[in-house]
Amino acid sequence: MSIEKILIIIPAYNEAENIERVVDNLITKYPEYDYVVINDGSSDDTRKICACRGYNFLDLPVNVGLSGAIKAGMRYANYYGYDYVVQIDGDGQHDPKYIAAMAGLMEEVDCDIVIGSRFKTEKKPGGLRMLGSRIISGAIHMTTGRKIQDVTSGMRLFNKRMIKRFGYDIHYSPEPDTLAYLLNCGFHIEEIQVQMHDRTAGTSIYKNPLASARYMLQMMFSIFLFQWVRKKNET
Amino acid sequence: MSRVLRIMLLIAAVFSAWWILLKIRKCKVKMEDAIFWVCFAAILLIMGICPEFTYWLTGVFQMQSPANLIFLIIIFLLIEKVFTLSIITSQLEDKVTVLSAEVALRSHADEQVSKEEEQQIKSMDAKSTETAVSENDQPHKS
Repeated sequence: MSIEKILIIIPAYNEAENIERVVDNLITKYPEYDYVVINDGSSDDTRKICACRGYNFLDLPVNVGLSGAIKAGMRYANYYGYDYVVQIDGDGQHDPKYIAAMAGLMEEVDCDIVIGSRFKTEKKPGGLRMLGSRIISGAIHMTTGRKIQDVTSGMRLFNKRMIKRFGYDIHYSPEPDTLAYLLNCGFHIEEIQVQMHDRTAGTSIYKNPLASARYMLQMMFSIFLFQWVRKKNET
Repeated sequence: MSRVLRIMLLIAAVFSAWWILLKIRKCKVKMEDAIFWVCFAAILLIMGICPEFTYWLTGVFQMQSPANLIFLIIIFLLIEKVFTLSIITSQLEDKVTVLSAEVALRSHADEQVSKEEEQQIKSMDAKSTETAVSENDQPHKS
């Protein structure tokens, strides 16, 4: 796989404290990859930092959420003819050193998505956040027969087929329900063990219990009901 | 509960569920927005299938007839939907305002840049023609 064809998309919403560290690390240590920061209508200095530092970034004028930011990144990748897209978070949780291994695995087994998983070989810890992950993982297992350990991982590698779908289809969000649907459509999804860093600054959206409950409700409806009425676009 | 009311509830439940699922299939609505209508259809279905449950709920709310309770529940759910839709609409209006302002701002900035570039090119052209003219004006030294 030629590394020139990989694009790293970094969705960033109010990541002023992290974005410089994340992108500078990428530029200095991994100059072989192209990248694009998607500033998702941040209300802090994220845009200013990206502009001052001369980063390659898409500046969305209003906040559209993670799903919309990923869609913008996928359309960018499609527009400039990239073959592979890696999504990493703007908070520095994901280490780009795993991208080569992910790309290698994609080439080796010819799969459509490679997930950078925290729990491929390591045991999943307890806790409320992991309870949600376990429930979604169980739901996917029940409906597809496949076990995905780290369903909420934000580090994923997509191939060209996925770039088109994630960029142009209303139902394709970077969430676990899409993984379940894709598995049932016959697409191939693999996981690879990675280590993730803790967030050094800022807060995660999943800290809010109401938002978590809403998210779980959406996932359950989508996995158990809505995916069966969606058209199956097979490979 | 009259049989006609129960049949109407069942028809309404099946129709609303079928309609929203069809919209999902045709990619006309986002899945998260369909959850409300699926729940709505489920409530109508339960009330239509289990009149005992509706009678029990009527007793709990001390209402005169199950028909009143059904109307109340439907009105309550629809008011909630109108309320949330109203909030979403005003947020969307604000987003459109911000979006148009940003588009105008950015196209203005782009125009400024291209004007400056044009002026630079013009001044460079003028300089080069001036030098060419002055070179031509010089008398030939034999």
